[in-house]
Amino acid sequence: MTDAPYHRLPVPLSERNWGGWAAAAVAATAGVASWSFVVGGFSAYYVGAREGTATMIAGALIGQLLVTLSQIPPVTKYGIETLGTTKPQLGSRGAILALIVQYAILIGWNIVLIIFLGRACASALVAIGLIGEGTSASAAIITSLVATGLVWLLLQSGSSSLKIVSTIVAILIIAIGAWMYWLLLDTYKVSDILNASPIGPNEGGRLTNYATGIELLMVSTLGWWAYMGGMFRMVNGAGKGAVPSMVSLGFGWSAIGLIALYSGLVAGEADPTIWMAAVAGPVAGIFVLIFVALANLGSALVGAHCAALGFGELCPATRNLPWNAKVAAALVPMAIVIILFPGAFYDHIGTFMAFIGILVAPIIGIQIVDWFVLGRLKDMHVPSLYWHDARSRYWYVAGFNPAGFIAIACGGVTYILLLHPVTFVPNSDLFQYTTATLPAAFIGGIVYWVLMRGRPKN
Amino acid sequence: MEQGTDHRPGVDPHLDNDYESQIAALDRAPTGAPFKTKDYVFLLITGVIIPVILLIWGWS
Repeated sequence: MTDAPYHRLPVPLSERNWGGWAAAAVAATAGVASWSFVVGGFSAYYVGAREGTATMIAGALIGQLLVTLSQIPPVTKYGIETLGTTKPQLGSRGAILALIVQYAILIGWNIVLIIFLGRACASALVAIGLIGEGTSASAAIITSLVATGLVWLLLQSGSSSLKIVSTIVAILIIAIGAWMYWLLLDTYKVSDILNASPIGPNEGGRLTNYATGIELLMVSTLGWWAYMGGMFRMVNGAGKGAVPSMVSLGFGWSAIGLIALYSGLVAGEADPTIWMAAVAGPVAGIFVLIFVALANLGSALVGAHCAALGFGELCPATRNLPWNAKVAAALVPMAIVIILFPGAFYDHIGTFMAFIGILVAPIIGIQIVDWFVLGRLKDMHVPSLYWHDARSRYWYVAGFNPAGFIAIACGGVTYILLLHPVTFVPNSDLFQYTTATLPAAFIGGIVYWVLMRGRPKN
Repeated sequence: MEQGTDHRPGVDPHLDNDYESQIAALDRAPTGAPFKTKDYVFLLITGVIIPVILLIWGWS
């Protein structure tokens, strides 16, 4: 088993050599990126500084708790990737739904990060006079493609490069992040930040906007579900995964996002590459650019790694591909979007992510029920995850588990009944008391339990 | 390692015999340690108690 390339089979227990610190570094590297600023900036529309501090951190921790419970137990027990963990719930073939969702999250966010990085680099080149404004768009595309190539290069050695690069990047981004906090609080009075009003709250009242702030971070945090297998399959125990998951991912990315919340409220600008250069000069702009480059590259590296792993676990045809082909499956779509329509994609990322959230919440709900209520984790038949025929215990009906799909549909409908996923305007007064993510996960889990409880465990 | 197709009915023809035996061996492979009580306590504190306290503070 140890002779097989690591990406084709579960990681053997003897080779899972990431301790808690290594997992924390990889998780922190993945967690902190420009998406923190995007979410922080969105939060500034709905809540002020005090409310936003509470909703961002609490929403992220609650969301990460759900992600942790659904992914850490199976991934660390068996050394499998996220896609593999969904086969007991969706079926050997039905897991393709999970692959589509996972792949869309990973590639979609990677595209955003790399485009963001390209634009930041181009802005810096314009600011220092190396290129003119007219060539900024081309420069952004070129630097984005260079970054994509760098990710490919770093992924040549698989998880070992991930661990090394992430440790270095995590230290640097924490240091620069702390400096960004200091600069923000040194430039603006704390009282000004606390007294700043939300930019564009919903009309439903304070509780509705408070719930919206919580929902924004919860549903965004659920996106980590797609990354968990790739990050934590190298950890040899669930306990070693719990702290990095909750602290590095849950708390870490929201803590950095608070910078954008506060700057969005008091300066009207959430993007640090803009407001920091404006208040502290070009040197500060260079440091922020370094932060963006490290953070976004680190996260894109983790995302591409996870996407390549997930693609490989879909079926024997993809599993037998060489590692470079799987990495290409992750990076080529990125390159195509970066070249052909970066602006259109970047401007609609909110819509894209909202529809991903509708599916991930119930998937997480059914997984938590499957492991902890139905007790199917301890009896998981791992060979069945790699058989794509009737030998698999997860073959169900022609490779699909109807219970899983019905449950996901019910959870998704629940989400939409409570909250419009694109406009983030509540569709029901109930939303202000429940959010949308929690009921969607709960309903998905309950329906799955009802439909599956009569079955033999495996 | 023998390359080739497996023609058994109902069996995926893409698998080779060596890989097939590796998959079968997964059933007996050692597994990682599950959550302990202290891990559940940590998750309860970070995932429920702290968020509730924060949300009460933020609302007040």
